[in-house]
Amino acid sequence: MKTYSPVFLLAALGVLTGAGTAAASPVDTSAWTCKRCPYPEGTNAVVEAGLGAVSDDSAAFGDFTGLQKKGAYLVLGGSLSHRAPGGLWLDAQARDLGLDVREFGARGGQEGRYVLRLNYAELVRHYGDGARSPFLGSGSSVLTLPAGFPAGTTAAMPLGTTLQAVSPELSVQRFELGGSWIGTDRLSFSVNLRRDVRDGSRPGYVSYFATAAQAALPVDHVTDQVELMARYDGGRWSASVGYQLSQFDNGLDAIVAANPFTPVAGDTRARLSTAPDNQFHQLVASGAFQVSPTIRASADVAAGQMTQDQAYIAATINPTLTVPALPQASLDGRVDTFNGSVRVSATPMAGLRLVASYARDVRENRTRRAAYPNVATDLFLDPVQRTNVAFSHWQDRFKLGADWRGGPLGLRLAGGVEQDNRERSYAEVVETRETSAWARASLQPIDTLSVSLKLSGADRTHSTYGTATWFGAPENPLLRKYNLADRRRQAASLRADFAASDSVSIGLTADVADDDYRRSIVGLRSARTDSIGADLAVTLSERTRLSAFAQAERVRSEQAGSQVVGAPDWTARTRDRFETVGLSLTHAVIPDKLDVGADLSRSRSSSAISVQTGVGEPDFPSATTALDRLKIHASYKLNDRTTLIGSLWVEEADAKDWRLDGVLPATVANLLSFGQQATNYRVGVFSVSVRHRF
Amino acid sequence: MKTLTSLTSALCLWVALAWPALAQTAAPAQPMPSPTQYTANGADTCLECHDDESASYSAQALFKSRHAHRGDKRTPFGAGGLQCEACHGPGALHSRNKRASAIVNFKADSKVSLAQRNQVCLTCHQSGSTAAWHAGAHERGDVACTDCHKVHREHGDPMLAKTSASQACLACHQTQRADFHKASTHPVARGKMGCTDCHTPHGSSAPAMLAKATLNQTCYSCHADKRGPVLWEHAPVTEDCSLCHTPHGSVRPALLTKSAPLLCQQCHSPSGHPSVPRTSRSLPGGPNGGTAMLVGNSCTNCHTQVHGSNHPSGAKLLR
Repeated sequence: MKTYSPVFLLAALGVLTGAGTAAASPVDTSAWTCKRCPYPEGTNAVVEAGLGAVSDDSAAFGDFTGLQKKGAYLVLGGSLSHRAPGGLWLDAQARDLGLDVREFGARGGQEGRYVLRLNYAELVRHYGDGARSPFLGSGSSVLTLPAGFPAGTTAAMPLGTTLQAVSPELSVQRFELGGSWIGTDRLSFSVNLRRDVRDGSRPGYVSYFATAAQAALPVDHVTDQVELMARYDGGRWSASVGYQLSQFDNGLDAIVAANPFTPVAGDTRARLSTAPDNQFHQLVASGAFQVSPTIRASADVAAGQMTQDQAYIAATINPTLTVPALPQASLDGRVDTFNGSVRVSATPMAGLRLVASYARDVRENRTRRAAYPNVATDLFLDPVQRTNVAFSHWQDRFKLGADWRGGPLGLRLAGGVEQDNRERSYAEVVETRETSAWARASLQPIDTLSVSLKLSGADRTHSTYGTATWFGAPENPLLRKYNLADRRRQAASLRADFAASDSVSIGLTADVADDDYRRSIVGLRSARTDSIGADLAVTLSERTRLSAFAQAERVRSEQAGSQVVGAPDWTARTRDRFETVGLSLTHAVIPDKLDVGADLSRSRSSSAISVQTGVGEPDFPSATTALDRLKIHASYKLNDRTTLIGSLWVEEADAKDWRLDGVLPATVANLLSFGQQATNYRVGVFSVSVRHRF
Repeated sequence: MKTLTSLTSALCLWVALAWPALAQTAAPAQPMPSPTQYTANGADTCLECHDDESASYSAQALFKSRHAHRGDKRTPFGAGGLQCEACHGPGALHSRNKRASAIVNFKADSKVSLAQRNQVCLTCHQSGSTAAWHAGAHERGDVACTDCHKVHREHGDPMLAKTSASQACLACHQTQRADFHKASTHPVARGKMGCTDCHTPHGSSAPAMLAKATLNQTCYSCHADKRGPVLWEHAPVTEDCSLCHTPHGSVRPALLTKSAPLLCQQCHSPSGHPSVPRTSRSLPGGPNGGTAMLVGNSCTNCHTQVHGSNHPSGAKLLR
C-alpha cells in the first residue's frame, strides 16, 4: 500500500487540478442527493449572559478593555444563525455588549446570489490615571483659566486651589456596511462602506513660546470610506477594478487655550490648528494570469489623489499684532499618488521556483508653494516669511528570488536580490539606492528536526548630501539623517523546530540585525537588535495540553550630536531590553463536561539612556515596565444546551519613567503638566455567565 | 551603474533559468496520472463513516460554512459539485479500504505535498485577495492554506474571527507576538485589532504584505487625520510612519522607536536648542533643574503638530 498510495494520491490530485471548478465536474453527480448531509435548518441561537466584577478603578487597565471602573458589569453576548428555504441565510454575533467596547456583526444573504454584511464596534481609549489641570472646559475647543492666572512660573500659579481631575477619554465607533452580488459564475460586484467616529478628548500640549501646558484637547473626527469593486474570474485569468474614497471630516477648526503663563506681548491665548478635512480618491485595478501551467503573473495598479482645501484660520489670535494678508484663503492642496506592481513566478523545473517583481510608488505633491507671514506662537511676527514645502517621493523596488529543493536531508536553498531606489524632492539628497541580497538554507536531517538559517545584507548609498532649507537655521553639515544616510545592514536568522516525541515539540529562534551608518558623523551612527525565542508545546495527555514561550530582545543604538554645528561633542547610547514569558494550559477535568484553562504571561522591559558630553554625565534612571497577566477560565456543561462559564483575570502593571515620575504640575517652571506618573495598577476581573443554546 | 549591472546580470540569469518554462506554454511541471474513481453517492458515502464530532474535526461544521452553500454552484456542494471529493479527491478506493493514505488529506503529516494541497484550494481561490499568493512570502515560506484555515472546526474557520486569526499568525511570528506584550501596542492582545487589519496574508505588492499599497496608506486607513496634505508638512511623516513609530509594540509610549529628544536629534542638529544634549542633570531634582525640553513629551511639548500643521503660522509645527 505504501508504494501504491502516492500514486493514488497523485492521481487524485490530477483529477482535482484537471477538474478545476465544480462546473467542470468529471463525474455525473446528478444522483448525489446528499441525504446524510447535516445542512443546518431554521434558527439556532446562543446567548451568553452573566455578571462580572472589576476590583479597582484604573483608566490604564480600561484602555481598550472597557473595564476602567470598579464594580459590576454585564456579561452579554451571543450568536444567531438562520437558514431558510431558498438559500437565505444569516449569521450574527455579538460580544461585550455590557461594556463600551461592544461589537456586533451580521452577515447574510442568498446562496449564490448576494451577501450583505453589517458590523458595529466600539472602542474606548483611556489615557492613564492621575491627570490634573487648572483649565476650565477640558475637552472643549475653548480652554479658559480660573482667577489667579496667569503667573510667571508654575510654582507661582494658584495650583493648590485650581487643579481638578481630568480624564481624557476617546470613544471610537466603527460602522460597516457592505454587500457583494454574484452576477454570474465569474463576475461579482461588491460595495463596502465604513464610518469611523472619534469623539472625546486626548492629552496634548499647547506651547506659548518658551513655556507649555498640558491640556485635554477635544477630538471630533469622522472618517467615511467607500469601496466599489467589480471582479471577474475567468479561470486562467482574473481581474478586478474599483474605486475607493476616504473622506476625513474634523468637527473642529481650531482649539483656543488661555495662557497660564504671564504673557509677553498680548499672547494671552494660543490658537492651535486641528487636522484639516481631507479626501483621498483612488482608482484601483488588479489582474492575474496563468501564463502556462508553470508560470503565473499578477499585477496591481492604483492611481489616487489626496486633496485638502479647508479654509485657513487667521495667522494669529493676538489682537495686538498686525499681520500681512495670507497669500490664499486655503491651501487647495493636492497630492497625486500612483502605486503599481507586477509579479511573475515560475517553476521551470521540478523543485525550482523563481519569483520576480517590480513595484513603483509615487507621492507627488502638486500643492502650490507660497510665502506666508509667520507669527511665532501668537507672540511676534517673524520678519521672514515662510514658504511651504511640498514633499514628493518616488520609489522603485525590484526583486528577484529563487528557491530550490530536492537535495539530500531535505535540503532547500533560497536566495534573492532586491533593489530599492528612492527619489525625494526638497530633501538633503535627491536619491538613495539600496541593494540587498539574502540567502536561506533549510535542512531536515531527520523527520523530527528542521533547521533553517537566513543571512541577508544590504547596502544603501545616497547621491550628494546637500542642504535642505525648509525653515530656520541650517542643519549641521556633518549630520546625516538616518533615512537618507549611507547604511550597511546585516542580518541573520536561525530557526530550529524539533519534535522530541509525538507529544512534545520545541521551537528555537535567534535573530540579529545590525545597521552601520558608517559615514554619519552626526546623527544616528549604529543600531543593533538581538533576539532569541523558544516555544514549547506538550500534550501531557489526551485531556491536558500545555504550551509555553519565552522571548528576549535587546536593542542598542548610538548617535552623536554637536552643539557647535560642527564636529560631534556629545554622544548618546540607548539600550532597550525586553523579556517576556508565557504559559498556557488546558485540561479537560471531566471530558466533554468540565474544561479548565489558564494563560499566564510575564513581561519586563528596561530602557537605559546615557548622554555623554565628556564630563562624566550620570546615566538617566532606567525606564522600566513590568506587566503580569493571569487568566483562568472554566466551563461546565450543565446539559447539551447549557454551559456555565467562569473566568478570573488578574493584571498588574508597574512602570517607572523619568519623563513622568516626579514631574508634578508645578515641578518644572515652564511646563504646566498633568502630573501623571508612570503606569501602575493591579486589577482583578471576575465573571460568571451562562451560555445557552436555543 | 554597478547596481544596474548586478541587476541586469541577475535578470539574465533568471531568464536563463526560466527559459525552459517560458518556452513551453502547456507542459505541466510533472505529469499527473489518470483520474481514479469517485464514490457512488458523493458525500452520502463519506458521511456513512465521518459522523464523528470533536473540537478539531467536525463534519457538521463544514455545512455551516459557505463551502456547503447548495445555492451557489461555485461551491463544492453547489449544483454539480463534487462535494467532499471536490477537495479530498476521488474517494471510491478510500471508501472501500478506509485508509487515510487513499484520500487527499490536509493534515500536517499528509503524504500529499504541500504545494499540491495548496493547489487544491487555489483551484477555486486564486482571484481577488489571493491573486498575489503565487509570489507572496507565505507561498515561498511553505505555508499551507490549512496551517491557518480550518474548515472542519466546530467553531468555524479561526481565520474569520479577529482574535483567533491573530493567534494563528502569532504562532509563527514570535517576534511580533512578543511585541504585543510590550507597554505600547496596537490593541491586538486585547482582541480589538487583528493582524489582517493591516496585513494581507495571501500576498500583496506592498512590503510586509501590507493591506494597502504603502505603509503610510495602511496607517491612514485608521489615522486619516494624519494624511493631509497640509500646509506645513514634516518630511518623514509624508514618507514613512515607521521612521518614528514601530507598528507592533514599543517599550516607550506612542509606539515610538526612541525617546525624545534623542529621536528628534537623529535628524535635527542646527544651532540652538535642538542640538543641545539633554542629560540626566536636566531632570527635575538634578543640578540643572527640570526642563520642558526633556520631560513630559520633550520636543513635542512645544512642537505639538509633529505630524504637520495647516495653521498659516505653523511652519515650525508649534501651531
